[in-house]
Amino acid sequence: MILELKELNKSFDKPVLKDINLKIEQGEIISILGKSGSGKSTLLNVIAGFERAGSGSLEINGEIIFNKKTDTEPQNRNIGFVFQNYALFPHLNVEANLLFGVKNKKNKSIVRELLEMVELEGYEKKYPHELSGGEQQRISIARVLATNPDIILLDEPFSSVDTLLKAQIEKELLTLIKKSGKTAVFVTHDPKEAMAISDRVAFLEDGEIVQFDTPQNIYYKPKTNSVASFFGIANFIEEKCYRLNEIELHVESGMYKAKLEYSIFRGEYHELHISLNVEGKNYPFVVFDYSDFHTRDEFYISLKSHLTTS
Amino acid sequence: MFNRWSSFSYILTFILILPIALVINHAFGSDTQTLTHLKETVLVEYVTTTFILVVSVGFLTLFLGVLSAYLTTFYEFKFVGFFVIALALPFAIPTYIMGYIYSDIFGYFNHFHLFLRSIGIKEYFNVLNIYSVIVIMSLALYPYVYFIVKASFEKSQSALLNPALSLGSSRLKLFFKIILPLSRPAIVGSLALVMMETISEYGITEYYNIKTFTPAIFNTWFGLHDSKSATYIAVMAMVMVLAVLGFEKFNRGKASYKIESTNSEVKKQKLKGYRLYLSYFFLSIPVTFGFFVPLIWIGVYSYEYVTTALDEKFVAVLTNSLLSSTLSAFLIMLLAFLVAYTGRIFPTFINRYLSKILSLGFTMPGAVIAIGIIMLFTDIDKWLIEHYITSSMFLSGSYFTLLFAYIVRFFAIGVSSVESSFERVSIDLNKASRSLGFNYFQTMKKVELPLMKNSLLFGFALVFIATIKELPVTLVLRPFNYETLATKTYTLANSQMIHETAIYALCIIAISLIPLTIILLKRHR
Repeated sequence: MILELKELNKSFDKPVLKDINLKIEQGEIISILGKSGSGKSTLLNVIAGFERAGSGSLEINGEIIFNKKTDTEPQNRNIGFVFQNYALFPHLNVEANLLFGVKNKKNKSIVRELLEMVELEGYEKKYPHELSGGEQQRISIARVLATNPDIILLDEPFSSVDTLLKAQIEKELLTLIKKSGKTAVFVTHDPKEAMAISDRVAFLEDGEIVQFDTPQNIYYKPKTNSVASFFGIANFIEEKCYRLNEIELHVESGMYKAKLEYSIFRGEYHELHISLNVEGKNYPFVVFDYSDFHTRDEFYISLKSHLTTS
Repeated sequence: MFNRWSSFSYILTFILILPIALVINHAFGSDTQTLTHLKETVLVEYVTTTFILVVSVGFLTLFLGVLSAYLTTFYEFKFVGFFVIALALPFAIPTYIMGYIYSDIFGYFNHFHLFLRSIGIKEYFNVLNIYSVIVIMSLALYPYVYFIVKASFEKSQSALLNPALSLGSSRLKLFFKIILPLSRPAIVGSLALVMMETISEYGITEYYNIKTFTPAIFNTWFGLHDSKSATYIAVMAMVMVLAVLGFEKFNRGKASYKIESTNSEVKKQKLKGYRLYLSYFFLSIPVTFGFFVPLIWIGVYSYEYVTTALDEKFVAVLTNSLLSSTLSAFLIMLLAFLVAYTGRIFPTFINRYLSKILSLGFTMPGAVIAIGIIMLFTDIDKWLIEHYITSSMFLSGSYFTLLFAYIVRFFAIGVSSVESSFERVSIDLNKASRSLGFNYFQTMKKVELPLMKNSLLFGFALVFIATIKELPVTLVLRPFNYETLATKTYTLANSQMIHETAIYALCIIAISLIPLTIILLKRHR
């Protein structure tokens, strides 16, 4: 166990984190996912030591860094933090930024190694404003790796990245962290991002961890309706959640009768908004349709399997 | 939260606020004979005169400041660049010096009346009255309004002119319906500054014998030796200042006046015909009488007295001014930085408001602070003597007293410039440094200080100018035989050696002009 959070609470005017329990293993990549205001950035700040928790405890490698009696300063926690806007020191060049937290400043070979790792060789003398967003991010991660931290925390690392570049940068970052073998905790509000990069996802809602699971389980076995809805369009019939790929359309026969309300053209598919009639009750329902069914206004749907919900 | 940083700020706040608290505390209680007498006789006059002065100067500065800001922001005409800079220059001339100069120009045996007599007019116009004080103070103080309002005009114009024009609004409608209301906080804020300066002004009101609060406080304290009455008047001055501040706060209300900055290109209108000439005429008045006439006067008499004035005493006075201004500006910036940094790293409710409390000294008239400090240090000295630690007055009248007073008085200038430059340095940089292994103090040294070097120098310059121009506090609290440029001009003017003040005034203006021009040029670009 590299990082363990026990019964962690934090309030500002009202409770922001409620009884947070998390156990994170060495080398794992974890995402903390939630809407804005769910408390995810606060949780990251509490782990880093920038904010003080109200109660509970925090351990790294079995050593207590926070509880009632102890509150280790951020500089002594050996936790690396990658900021949303990278927080590179604008008055220092790349080399000085990388060496900022390194005790032995004469050790130039570490700069070379890090730059090689993030594939930015020859950037030593450049200043942050001369770098692109992606390059700045890689430098900010290299700066964190330079101090050899136990854990890396990343606060919305892709929020200021172009949509077009996002996939590529996600991949680069993931490879980098995997290559370094470090444990990493991401904060994000994007479910696709969370599923793409993490080994496990912690879903935070109103300061509580609702589900902490693998991306597959979170997607297919959501514990609550809010988790289900958060991970893409979900359909509910009588408290049960159906993903789109769990649904089959039939022109004739089948289980439930459906009526097309309207359809939206999305290029490769149509998004069909239908009302589904189940035992005399109408449910609004959304289906992706790659065929031509949308031309009809009445058809049948068979729900191949349903997902358990709470 | 009690940690080393916060505790330091709390203690500093306590110490710096003590003089003002002492004044308030001393003012209440049973009336002395003098106070009863004052209440029956001159107190009403002090109140009404100050009120009339504040309101009239307010109106006139508003007229000069807003109109000149309007013309130079929204119109294009020849020499507009010159006026943009020149209109701010009267900032460099302290009000009392302007007062001395005009009293000389309009003196019975001097320039103006000599000219009148040469064309056959024998009448004498005495300028030593409240009307001239209103005009002179307005000429000296309108740059506050001009400077602050112009900045607000420029910001709202660049953000809103193009959208408004595209919605079919005329420029005039845009100005009156949107830009002027949006600039209300700037207008009221700068007006509040002007009013506070007017209440606080000492040199000119005393010289022109205008019975406002500040000379009244000093006369009661030093002339009548009645500390109770002096503090009573001081509290009344405070009440008036607080009323001004309340008016500003009330005016701001809940509306949001925040405008996002944009860099959109603004096409300015060209001024033509009679409007152009009217504008030239209007803009020339404050520039000529607020800056060039005093400057010429100073130039002429400095030249005339340069050989007699430049002696060892002059060097001593100049050194005193430079040293005490440098030292107090340095101390203020240091303390302001520590307080603002504490508010930054521990943003608790109290810590965020400490800088506001500490800024109270700036809003209070210098006279109030001066007597508050006299009371504080006399008390401390008495205690020291009682406990046989010293045998005579140790702190009162010492150089330390003067420095302390400057810190109380001008802390606000330092802290506001530090806070505004902190806003431009992301707090994430601080966190990044700490997560990379450095504590608050090391982070401050390695990250914030180097990043804020320029703005700190700018703040330093502002405090430096304010200190070098400062008169009432220095006059009262300076050590025996200690003269600065400001007190020297005062003593010379009051000994009817007004022409000899020129060289000292020249030094003050030259020293103030250097940073002012740098700021202006930077902004104009």
